[in-house]
Amino acid sequence: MAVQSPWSVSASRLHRSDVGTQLPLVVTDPKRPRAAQHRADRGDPRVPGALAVMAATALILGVWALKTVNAQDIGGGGLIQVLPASYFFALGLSLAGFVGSLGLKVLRLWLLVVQLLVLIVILHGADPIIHGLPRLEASYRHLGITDYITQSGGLDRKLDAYFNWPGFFGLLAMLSNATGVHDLAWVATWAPVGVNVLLMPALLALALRLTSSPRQAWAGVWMFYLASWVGQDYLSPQACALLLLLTLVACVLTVFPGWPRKPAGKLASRFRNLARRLEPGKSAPIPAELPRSAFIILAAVCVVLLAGMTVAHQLTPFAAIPILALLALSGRCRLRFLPVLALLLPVCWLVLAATPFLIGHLHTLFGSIGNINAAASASLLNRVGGNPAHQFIVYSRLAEGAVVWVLAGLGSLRGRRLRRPWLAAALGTVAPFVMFPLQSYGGELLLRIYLFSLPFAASLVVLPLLPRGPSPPGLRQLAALLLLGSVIATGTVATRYGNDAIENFTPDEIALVNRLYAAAPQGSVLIEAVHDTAWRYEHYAGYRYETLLQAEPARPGDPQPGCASITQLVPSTGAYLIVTASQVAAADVLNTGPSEGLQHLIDRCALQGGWSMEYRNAGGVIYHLQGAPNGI
Amino acid sequence: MASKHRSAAAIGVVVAVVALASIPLSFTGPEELRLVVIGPFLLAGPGTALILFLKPPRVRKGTGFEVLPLAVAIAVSFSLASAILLSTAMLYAGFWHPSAAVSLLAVLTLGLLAAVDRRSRRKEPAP
Repeated sequence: MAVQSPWSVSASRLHRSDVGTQLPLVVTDPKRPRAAQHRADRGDPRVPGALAVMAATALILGVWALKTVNAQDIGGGGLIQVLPASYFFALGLSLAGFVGSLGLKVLRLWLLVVQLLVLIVILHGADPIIHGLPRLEASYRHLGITDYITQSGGLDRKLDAYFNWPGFFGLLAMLSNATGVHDLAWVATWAPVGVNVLLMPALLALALRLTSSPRQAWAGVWMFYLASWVGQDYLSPQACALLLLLTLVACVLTVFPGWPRKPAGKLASRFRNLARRLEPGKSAPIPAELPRSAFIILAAVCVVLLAGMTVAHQLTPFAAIPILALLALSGRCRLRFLPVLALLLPVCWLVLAATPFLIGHLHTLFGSIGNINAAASASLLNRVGGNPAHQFIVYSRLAEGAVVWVLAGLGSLRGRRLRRPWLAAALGTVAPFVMFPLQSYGGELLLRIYLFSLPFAASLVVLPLLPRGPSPPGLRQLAALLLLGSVIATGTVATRYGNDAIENFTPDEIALVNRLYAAAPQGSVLIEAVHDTAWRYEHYAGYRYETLLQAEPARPGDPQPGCASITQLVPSTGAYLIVTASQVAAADVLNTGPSEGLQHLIDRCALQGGWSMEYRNAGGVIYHLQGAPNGI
Repeated sequence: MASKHRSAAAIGVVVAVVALASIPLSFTGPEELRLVVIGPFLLAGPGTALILFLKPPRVRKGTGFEVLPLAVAIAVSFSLASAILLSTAMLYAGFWHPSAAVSLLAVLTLGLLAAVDRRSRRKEPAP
């Protein structure tokens, strides 16, 4: 670039596609030696190396610290109570390393990726490192559904909802059948790490379109991992569907931004004016150089992602509808048909393909539409319970969610004032709330809303702490970012692993379940004392599975279970009762079950006639219960 | 630019080899080897071929979008979504043949890569 002054701008370095980031405008002094100038432009080359060493140290120290944890010591307060100080030192090192990498003159893609990978392992890989087994009883059920498809090559759509949205399980079964590897427990064990790693490109692609600078985008992705306490990253359809959703939205924002080409009516122009008033400035650029065929192919890719989501998960496609609709109404999605298709696909699937589920669950699906009180009770009030330590965890989760949403709101205000992009992120943050009055989703809806809104909210949370342009943030901003990250990360260690005593299992418990399958003839009734058993990973449809107590805090007025409650579940042919250490912990933590304690109840009932102990180990006990001649 | 073309070609060759190997391995072979080949193929094979077909350098040149993360995300998500849709179709059709499904995905991937190769040969200047 020819300029009059002796200083010139190195235009060739404005954009480096290989690092995928916008580089700062660098003023070059022609009198300087080339190497010195290079150092001045890119900063001291030893700093990235030092930051990489920090990341490696954090990884080694963090994994070592997690390995020293004794899983038996984890109580109602969760993992945070037993973590050594060295873990928090490692976490702090990782956070400082990332913030330091963000503060470099020139962003290093490889360094930021390494820092995020280390964070994922330390923060989201604690369960596989400590327990070495799949987390959550649902993981075992998902393995069982996969096993069912692998063995039978078919679906039993009347068995439960999973078989009406079989896409994800079909994928796993395809992998299992085509490779001959039938034990996918290791995949389930390491899923939290794998899922978060797979999410990274989609999160980054999305954040790059929601923000004004690559630094903010990277910080947004970092914030997502720090604040992601919901733990839906296990081997589950929702984790897979979230990946598809994020990719879809990122693709729409990148390839199809703007308003539809055809002129629209008055209402559309009102929306257009409103969007321009809310976020003045140039609209997002359209990739004009893409050939028409590429636009068509990428539109088809969007449809494939929507369809994949639809057959894989019940809820995620319904989250896609408001997100895509709001993006279209604000001039961020030119494909007008996409929000309509997003609505049509899941509705058609529900009516045409998931008919057995629809017929059996009409009231569950549509009975509470518009009932905000019921939704609030199920998502908030009913979840607050259990022993004091558990209540603290529940309140911490609510507080962390509220803090993230409030900070995202403040970020939006700040973005508007500074004329930085904020609207798309704000719309993505609020859009999932549209689902709130529709149904409670088993009391999990607020948690799922948080999950869907977090990728958008995270970009807004960090907005006030990063400069608009390509220049690195100042020391004060970096310190503030580190402080915020430390607080949220510490909160996530508490909230994400707050139910660790309930959600994880021991090899003894797995051995106990294996023994149960060996002892009980196919078709028997198997009863779990509390709905927290690592079972159904095989013989998914081979037994009749019953539950005495749900794994949720007891509500006032709930009947106290007694021996008769168990007997009611036993048919005349008899049944098997399994009581595991995790069930006892769940009953204790959640204050559910009899006031005398679950273990005491079982011991008392076992003294009655008709109970015989089949097997006992450190993981629990199996009883065979004789059925009454006039039993069910 | 030449190095970008070279790296795209190298990625194409790797995907083609993995796709080609997936066809026999989806029917037979040592479990570990089948997992090492078919697992990554189902995770990213068809999507990577699609991305190569879309000519990412042109996208990058066009408006300066940072396309690498999106390209990787599409490669993975499209591959997973394709396998999900295919397996669901087989389940609903009562035609469960996972090895044939993997082979079909591999053939589609190889087809896309062949189209990419033919296009790049057409554009090469005559010697």
